[in-house]
Amino acid sequence: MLREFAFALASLIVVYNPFSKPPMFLSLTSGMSEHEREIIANRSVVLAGLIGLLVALFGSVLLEILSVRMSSFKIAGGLMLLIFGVQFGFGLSLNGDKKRKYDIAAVPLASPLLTGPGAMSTIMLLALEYGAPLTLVALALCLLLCLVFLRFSKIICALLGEQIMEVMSRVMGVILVAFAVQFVTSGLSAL
Amino acid sequence: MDPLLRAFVALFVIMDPFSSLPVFMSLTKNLRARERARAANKAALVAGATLVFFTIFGPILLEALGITVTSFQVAGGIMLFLVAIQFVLGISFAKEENQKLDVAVVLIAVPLITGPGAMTTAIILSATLGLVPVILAVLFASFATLLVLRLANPLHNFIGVQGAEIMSRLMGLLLGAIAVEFIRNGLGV
Repeated sequence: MLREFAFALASLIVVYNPFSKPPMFLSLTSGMSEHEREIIANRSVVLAGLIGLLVALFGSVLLEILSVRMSSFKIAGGLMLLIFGVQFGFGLSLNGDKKRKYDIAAVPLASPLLTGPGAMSTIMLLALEYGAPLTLVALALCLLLCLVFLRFSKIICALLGEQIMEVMSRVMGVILVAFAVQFVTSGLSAL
Repeated sequence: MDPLLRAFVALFVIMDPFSSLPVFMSLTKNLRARERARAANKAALVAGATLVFFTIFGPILLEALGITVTSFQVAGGIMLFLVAIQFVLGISFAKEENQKLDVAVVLIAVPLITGPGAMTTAIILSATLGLVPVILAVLFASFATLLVLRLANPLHNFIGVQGAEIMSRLMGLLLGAIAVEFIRNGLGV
Protein backbone atom coordinates (compact mmCIF):
# COMPACT_ATOMS: atom_id res chain seq x y z
CA MET A 1 0.00 0.00 0.00
CA LEU A 2 2.72 2.41 1.03
CA ARG A 3 4.88 1.41 -1.90
CA GLU A 4 2.00 1.93 -4.31
CA PHE A 5 1.27 5.30 -2.79
CA ALA A 6 4.92 6.30 -3.09
CA PHE A 7 4.95 5.22 -6.73
CA ALA A 8 1.74 7.14 -7.46
CA LEU A 9 3.06 10.26 -5.78
CA ALA A 10 6.45 10.04 -7.46
CA SER A 11 5.00 9.56 -10.92
CA LEU A 12 2.57 12.43 -10.41
CA ILE A 13 5.32 14.76 -9.22
CA VAL A 14 7.46 13.82 -12.20
CA VAL A 15 4.67 14.44 -14.68
CA TYR A 16 3.51 17.66 -12.99
CA ASN A 17 7.15 18.76 -12.86
CA PRO A 18 6.81 21.55 -10.28
CA PHE A 19 10.30 22.82 -11.10
CA SER A 20 9.16 23.89 -14.54
CA LYS A 21 6.31 25.99 -13.17
CA PRO A 22 7.76 29.07 -11.43
CA PRO A 23 9.41 30.61 -14.52
CA MET A 24 6.30 29.98 -16.65
CA PHE A 25 4.04 31.30 -13.93
CA LEU A 26 6.09 34.47 -13.52
CA SER A 27 6.11 35.18 -17.23
CA LEU A 28 2.37 34.53 -17.54
CA THR A 29 1.53 36.81 -14.61
CA SER A 30 4.07 39.49 -15.37
CA GLY A 31 2.73 42.93 -14.49
CA MET A 32 0.30 41.60 -11.90
CA SER A 33 0.30 42.49 -8.24
CA GLU A 34 1.34 39.98 -5.58
CA HIS A 35 -2.27 39.65 -4.50
CA GLU A 36 -3.54 38.91 -8.02
CA ARG A 37 -0.81 36.31 -8.41
CA GLU A 38 -1.93 34.59 -5.24
CA ILE A 39 -5.53 34.43 -6.40
CA ILE A 40 -4.52 33.05 -9.79
CA ALA A 41 -2.20 30.46 -8.24
CA ASN A 42 -4.96 29.23 -5.92
CA ARG A 43 -7.60 29.17 -8.63
CA SER A 44 -5.45 27.32 -11.13
CA VAL A 45 -4.46 24.64 -8.63
CA VAL A 46 -8.08 24.10 -7.57
CA LEU A 47 -9.16 23.87 -11.21
CA ALA A 48 -6.30 21.50 -12.00
CA GLY A 49 -7.48 19.33 -9.08
CA LEU A 50 -11.05 19.33 -10.37
CA ILE A 51 -9.93 18.22 -13.82
CA GLY A 52 -7.82 15.49 -12.21
CA LEU A 53 -10.79 14.39 -10.09
CA LEU A 54 -13.04 14.06 -13.16
CA VAL A 55 -10.38 12.08 -15.02
CA ALA A 56 -9.74 9.76 -12.07
CA LEU A 57 -13.44 9.08 -11.52
CA PHE A 58 -14.69 8.82 -15.10
CA GLY A 59 -11.61 7.75 -17.04
CA SER A 60 -12.37 4.05 -16.87
CA VAL A 61 -16.02 4.66 -17.82
CA LEU A 62 -14.88 6.60 -20.89
CA LEU A 63 -12.56 3.77 -21.92
CA GLU A 64 -15.42 1.30 -21.54
CA ILE A 65 -17.80 3.40 -23.65
CA LEU A 66 -15.21 3.64 -26.40
CA SER A 67 -14.48 -0.09 -25.94
CA VAL A 68 -10.79 0.54 -25.45
CA ARG A 69 -8.83 -2.03 -23.48
CA MET A 70 -6.70 -0.76 -20.61
CA SER A 71 -3.56 -2.25 -22.14
CA SER A 72 -4.18 -0.20 -25.29
CA PHE A 73 -4.56 2.92 -23.18
CA LYS A 74 -1.31 2.07 -21.41
CA ILE A 75 0.51 1.86 -24.73
CA ALA A 76 -1.05 5.07 -26.07
CA GLY A 77 -0.72 6.97 -22.78
CA GLY A 78 2.86 5.79 -22.39
CA LEU A 79 3.75 6.97 -25.89
CA MET A 80 2.23 10.38 -25.16
CA LEU A 81 4.17 10.59 -21.88
CA LEU A 82 7.28 9.77 -23.84
CA ILE A 83 6.73 12.86 -25.98
CA PHE A 84 6.36 15.01 -22.87
CA GLY A 85 9.40 13.48 -21.24
CA VAL A 86 11.44 14.24 -24.33
CA GLN A 87 10.19 17.83 -24.29
CA PHE A 88 11.15 18.30 -20.63
CA GLY A 89 14.43 16.47 -21.09
CA PHE A 90 15.60 18.56 -24.01
CA GLY A 91 13.96 21.71 -22.64
CA LEU A 92 11.96 22.24 -25.80
CA SER A 93 8.32 22.84 -26.51
CA LEU A 94 6.62 21.30 -29.52
CA ASN A 95 3.56 23.48 -29.44
CA GLY A 96 3.67 27.08 -30.48
CA ASP A 97 3.13 30.16 -28.37
CA LYS A 98 0.61 29.95 -25.56
CA LYS A 99 -2.53 31.89 -26.16
CA ARG A 100 -3.34 34.33 -23.40
CA LYS A 101 -6.67 35.64 -24.46
CA TYR A 102 -8.62 33.83 -21.76
CA ASP A 103 -8.56 33.93 -18.01
CA ILE A 104 -5.09 32.40 -17.58
CA ALA A 105 -5.99 30.53 -14.37
CA ALA A 106 -7.96 27.94 -16.39
CA VAL A 107 -6.17 27.87 -19.75
CA PRO A 108 -3.18 27.61 -19.91
CA LEU A 109 -2.38 27.32 -16.20
CA ALA A 110 -4.79 24.68 -14.84
CA SER A 111 -4.59 22.82 -18.12
CA PRO A 112 -2.36 22.09 -19.98
CA LEU A 113 0.43 23.45 -17.76
CA LEU A 114 -0.75 21.73 -14.58
CA THR A 115 -3.25 18.95 -15.41
CA GLY A 116 -2.30 18.52 -19.05
CA PRO A 117 -2.57 15.40 -21.17
CA GLY A 118 0.49 13.82 -19.56
CA ALA A 119 -1.00 14.28 -16.10
CA MET A 120 -4.40 13.08 -17.34
CA SER A 121 -3.01 9.84 -18.68
CA THR A 122 -0.96 9.30 -15.54
CA ILE A 123 -4.00 9.91 -13.33
CA MET A 124 -6.13 7.59 -15.43
CA LEU A 125 -3.49 4.87 -15.42
CA LEU A 126 -2.94 5.17 -11.67
CA ALA A 127 -6.68 5.16 -10.99
CA LEU A 128 -7.12 2.03 -13.11
CA GLU A 129 -4.21 0.32 -11.41
CA TYR A 130 -4.49 1.37 -7.75
CA GLY A 131 -8.03 2.75 -7.51
CA ALA A 132 -9.32 6.31 -7.45
CA PRO A 133 -8.99 7.06 -3.67
CA LEU A 134 -5.25 6.39 -3.48
CA THR A 135 -4.67 8.30 -6.71
CA LEU A 136 -6.65 11.28 -5.50
CA VAL A 137 -4.78 11.53 -2.20
CA ALA A 138 -1.48 11.42 -4.07
CA LEU A 139 -2.82 13.99 -6.52
CA ALA A 140 -3.84 16.30 -3.68
CA LEU A 141 -0.34 16.13 -2.20
CA CYS A 142 1.28 16.70 -5.55
CA LEU A 143 -0.93 19.69 -6.28
CA LEU A 144 -0.13 21.10 -2.86
CA LEU A 145 3.52 20.96 -3.82
CA CYS A 146 2.71 22.68 -7.12
CA LEU A 147 0.80 25.36 -5.22
CA VAL A 148 3.86 26.00 -3.06
CA PHE A 149 6.00 26.34 -6.17
CA LEU A 150 3.49 28.73 -7.74
CA ARG A 151 2.91 30.83 -4.64
CA PHE A 152 6.61 31.20 -3.92
CA SER A 153 7.66 31.44 -7.57
CA LYS A 154 9.70 34.56 -7.00
CA ILE A 155 11.52 33.31 -3.93
CA ILE A 156 12.14 29.89 -5.45
CA CYS A 157 13.49 31.39 -8.67
CA ALA A 158 15.76 33.70 -6.71
CA LEU A 159 16.87 31.00 -4.28
CA LEU A 160 17.62 28.19 -6.70
CA GLY A 161 18.57 30.28 -9.68
CA GLU A 162 17.35 29.61 -13.18
CA GLN A 163 20.10 27.17 -14.01
CA ILE A 164 19.36 24.79 -11.17
CA MET A 165 15.65 24.94 -11.95
CA GLU A 166 16.41 24.15 -15.58
CA VAL A 167 18.57 21.19 -14.60
CA MET A 168 15.93 19.87 -12.18
CA SER A 169 13.29 20.16 -14.87
CA ARG A 170 15.44 18.16 -17.28
CA VAL A 171 16.09 15.48 -14.68
CA MET A 172 12.31 15.19 -14.27
CA GLY A 173 12.07 14.75 -18.03
CA VAL A 174 14.50 11.86 -18.03
CA ILE A 175 12.62 10.15 -15.19
CA LEU A 176 9.36 10.75 -17.05
CA VAL A 177 10.75 8.97 -20.11
CA ALA A 178 11.56 6.00 -17.90
CA PHE A 179 8.00 5.97 -16.52
CA ALA A 180 6.66 6.22 -20.07
CA VAL A 181 8.69 3.22 -21.19
CA GLN A 182 7.39 1.29 -18.21
CA PHE A 183 3.77 2.05 -19.09
CA VAL A 184 4.30 1.03 -22.70
CA THR A 185 6.05 -2.23 -21.84
CA SER A 186 3.40 -3.08 -19.27
CA GLY A 187 0.74 -2.46 -21.94
CA LEU A 188 2.65 -4.52 -24.48
CA SER A 189 3.10 -7.42 -22.09
CA ALA A 190 -0.70 -7.81 -22.06
CA LEU A 191 -0.70 -8.57 -25.79
CA MET B 1 -36.88 -7.40 -39.50
CA ASP B 2 -36.96 -5.43 -42.70
CA PRO B 3 -33.55 -5.78 -44.43
CA LEU B 4 -33.22 -2.02 -44.80
CA LEU B 5 -33.82 -1.42 -41.10
CA ARG B 6 -31.48 -4.23 -40.14
CA ALA B 7 -28.70 -2.86 -42.30
CA PHE B 8 -29.30 0.65 -40.97
CA VAL B 9 -29.07 -0.38 -37.33
CA ALA B 10 -25.95 -2.47 -37.94
CA LEU B 11 -24.22 0.35 -39.81
CA PHE B 12 -25.24 3.10 -37.41
CA VAL B 13 -24.00 1.10 -34.44
CA ILE B 14 -20.64 0.44 -36.03
CA MET B 15 -20.21 3.98 -37.39
CA ASP B 16 -20.94 5.10 -33.84
CA PRO B 17 -21.06 8.87 -34.39
CA PHE B 18 -21.55 9.49 -30.66
CA SER B 19 -18.01 8.40 -29.92
CA SER B 20 -16.69 10.51 -32.81
CA LEU B 21 -18.60 13.56 -31.62
CA PRO B 22 -16.11 14.62 -28.91
CA VAL B 23 -13.25 14.15 -31.39
CA PHE B 24 -15.12 16.22 -33.94
CA MET B 25 -15.73 18.92 -31.32
CA SER B 26 -12.04 19.03 -30.38
CA LEU B 27 -11.11 19.32 -34.01
CA THR B 28 -13.48 22.20 -34.66
CA LYS B 29 -13.02 23.98 -31.34
CA ASN B 30 -11.70 27.17 -32.90
CA LEU B 31 -14.39 27.43 -35.57
CA ARG B 32 -17.54 29.52 -35.61
CA ALA B 33 -20.90 27.79 -35.41
CA ARG B 34 -21.54 28.08 -39.16
CA GLU B 35 -18.17 26.66 -40.11
CA ARG B 36 -18.58 23.86 -37.61
CA ALA B 37 -21.90 22.91 -39.18
CA ARG B 38 -20.20 22.92 -42.59
CA ALA B 39 -17.43 20.68 -41.27
CA ALA B 40 -20.10 18.29 -39.94
CA ASN B 41 -21.72 18.18 -43.39
CA LYS B 42 -18.40 17.46 -44.94
CA ALA B 43 -17.46 14.71 -42.48
CA ALA B 44 -20.82 12.97 -42.90
CA LEU B 45 -20.68 13.36 -46.68
CA VAL B 46 -17.17 11.94 -46.95
CA ALA B 47 -18.03 9.10 -44.56
CA GLY B 48 -21.20 8.22 -46.49
CA ALA B 49 -19.67 8.54 -49.95
CA THR B 50 -16.67 6.44 -48.98
CA LEU B 51 -18.90 3.75 -47.56
CA VAL B 52 -21.15 3.64 -50.63
CA PHE B 53 -18.10 3.47 -52.88
CA PHE B 54 -16.55 0.77 -50.77
CA THR B 55 -19.72 -1.29 -50.59
CA ILE B 56 -19.86 -1.41 -54.37
CA PHE B 57 -16.19 -1.57 -55.33
CA GLY B 58 -14.48 -2.58 -52.08
CA PRO B 59 -14.13 -6.28 -52.66
CA ILE B 60 -12.78 -5.78 -56.19
CA LEU B 61 -10.47 -2.95 -55.13
CA LEU B 62 -8.90 -4.79 -52.21
CA GLU B 63 -8.36 -7.86 -54.33
CA ALA B 64 -6.80 -5.86 -57.15
CA LEU B 65 -4.36 -4.14 -54.78
CA GLY B 66 -3.74 -7.27 -52.80
CA ILE B 67 -4.62 -5.48 -49.55
CA THR B 68 -6.34 -7.25 -46.70
CA VAL B 69 -8.88 -5.53 -44.46
CA THR B 70 -6.50 -6.10 -41.56
CA SER B 71 -3.70 -4.10 -43.21
CA PHE B 72 -6.22 -1.38 -43.77
CA GLN B 73 -7.01 -1.44 -40.05
CA VAL B 74 -3.36 -1.13 -39.06
CA ALA B 75 -2.81 1.75 -41.48
CA GLY B 76 -5.94 3.53 -40.24
CA GLY B 77 -4.74 3.13 -36.66
CA ILE B 78 -1.36 4.69 -37.44
CA MET B 79 -3.01 7.70 -39.11
CA LEU B 80 -5.38 8.14 -36.17
CA PHE B 81 -2.48 8.03 -33.73
CA LEU B 82 -0.81 10.90 -35.57
CA VAL B 83 -4.04 12.90 -35.27
CA ALA B 84 -4.11 12.07 -31.55
CA ILE B 85 -0.58 13.43 -31.07
CA GLN B 86 -1.67 16.71 -32.64
CA PHE B 87 -4.66 16.96 -30.28
CA VAL B 88 -2.55 16.19 -27.23
CA LEU B 89 0.12 18.74 -28.04
CA GLY B 90 -2.36 21.29 -29.38
CA ILE B 91 -0.45 21.55 -32.65
CA SER B 92 -1.05 20.87 -36.30
CA PHE B 93 1.33 19.15 -38.69
CA ALA B 94 -0.21 20.83 -41.72
CA LYS B 95 0.89 24.36 -42.53
CA GLU B 96 -2.15 26.08 -43.94
CA GLU B 97 -5.14 26.67 -41.72
CA ASN B 98 -7.65 25.68 -44.37
CA GLN B 99 -5.90 22.58 -45.51
CA LYS B 100 -5.34 21.43 -41.96
CA LEU B 101 -9.03 21.37 -41.20
CA ASP B 102 -9.88 19.60 -44.44
CA VAL B 103 -7.34 16.87 -43.85
CA ALA B 104 -8.49 16.38 -40.29
CA VAL B 105 -12.18 16.28 -41.18
CA VAL B 106 -11.42 13.62 -43.75
CA LEU B 107 -9.59 11.61 -41.08
CA ILE B 108 -12.65 11.86 -38.82
CA ALA B 109 -14.79 10.59 -41.69
CA VAL B 110 -12.36 7.79 -42.64
CA PRO B 111 -11.30 5.77 -40.64
CA LEU B 112 -13.04 6.99 -37.50
CA ILE B 113 -16.67 7.02 -38.72
CA THR B 114 -16.35 4.85 -41.81
CA GLY B 115 -13.64 2.53 -40.56
CA PRO B 116 -12.67 -0.96 -41.59
CA GLY B 117 -15.44 -2.21 -39.32
CA ALA B 118 -18.14 -0.30 -41.17
CA MET B 119 -16.66 -1.28 -44.52
CA THR B 120 -16.52 -4.96 -43.64
CA THR B 121 -20.05 -4.80 -42.23
CA ALA B 122 -21.36 -3.17 -45.39
CA ILE B 123 -19.70 -5.78 -47.61
CA ILE B 124 -21.00 -8.66 -45.52
CA LEU B 125 -24.50 -7.17 -45.37
CA SER B 126 -24.63 -6.60 -49.11
CA ALA B 127 -23.69 -10.21 -49.65
CA THR B 128 -26.69 -11.36 -47.63
CA LEU B 129 -29.29 -8.59 -48.05
CA GLY B 130 -28.46 -7.35 -51.54
CA LEU B 131 -26.70 -4.23 -52.71
CA VAL B 132 -29.67 -1.82 -52.94
CA PRO B 133 -30.99 -2.00 -49.35
CA VAL B 134 -27.44 -1.73 -48.01
CA ILE B 135 -26.67 1.38 -50.04
CA LEU B 136 -29.94 2.97 -48.91
CA ALA B 137 -29.07 2.03 -45.33
CA VAL B 138 -25.64 3.65 -45.73
CA LEU B 139 -27.30 6.87 -46.86
CA PHE B 140 -29.69 6.86 -43.90
CA ALA B 141 -26.90 6.03 -41.45
CA SER B 142 -24.77 8.87 -42.83
CA PHE B 143 -27.66 11.26 -42.41
CA ALA B 144 -28.14 10.11 -38.82
CA THR B 145 -24.40 10.64 -38.31
CA LEU B 146 -24.76 14.18 -39.62
CA LEU B 147 -27.53 14.88 -37.11
CA VAL B 148 -25.31 13.63 -34.28
CA LEU B 149 -22.33 15.70 -35.42
CA ARG B 150 -24.58 18.76 -35.59
CA LEU B 151 -24.98 18.40 -31.80
CA ALA B 152 -21.44 19.78 -31.64
CA ASN B 153 -22.70 23.37 -31.76
CA PRO B 154 -25.06 23.32 -28.75
CA LEU B 155 -22.56 21.20 -26.80
CA HIS B 156 -19.76 23.60 -27.61
CA ASN B 157 -21.81 26.50 -26.28
CA PHE B 158 -22.44 24.47 -23.15
CA ILE B 159 -18.85 23.67 -22.22
CA GLY B 160 -17.37 26.94 -23.41
CA VAL B 161 -14.09 27.78 -25.13
CA GLN B 162 -11.93 26.84 -22.16
CA GLY B 163 -13.82 23.61 -21.56
CA ALA B 164 -13.36 22.72 -25.23
CA GLU B 165 -9.64 23.42 -24.98
CA ILE B 166 -9.26 21.13 -21.97
CA MET B 167 -11.51 18.45 -23.47
CA SER B 168 -9.50 18.35 -26.64
CA ARG B 169 -6.39 17.29 -24.71
CA LEU B 170 -8.30 14.50 -23.02
CA MET B 171 -9.86 13.43 -26.31
CA GLY B 172 -6.39 13.26 -27.82
CA LEU B 173 -5.39 10.68 -25.23
CA LEU B 174 -8.52 8.62 -25.80
CA LEU B 175 -8.13 8.87 -29.56
CA GLY B 176 -4.59 7.58 -29.17
CA ALA B 177 -5.96 4.58 -27.29
CA ILE B 178 -8.61 4.02 -29.99
CA ALA B 179 -5.81 4.11 -32.57
CA VAL B 180 -3.86 1.47 -30.65
CA GLU B 181 -7.03 -0.66 -30.58
CA PHE B 182 -7.30 -0.36 -34.37
CA ILE B 183 -3.71 -1.47 -34.80
CA ARG B 184 -4.12 -4.33 -32.34
CA ASN B 185 -7.30 -5.53 -34.02
CA GLY B 186 -5.53 -5.44 -37.36
CA LEU B 187 -2.56 -7.34 -36.03
CA GLY B 188 -4.84 -9.72 -34.15
CA VAL B 189 -3.20 -9.23 -30.74
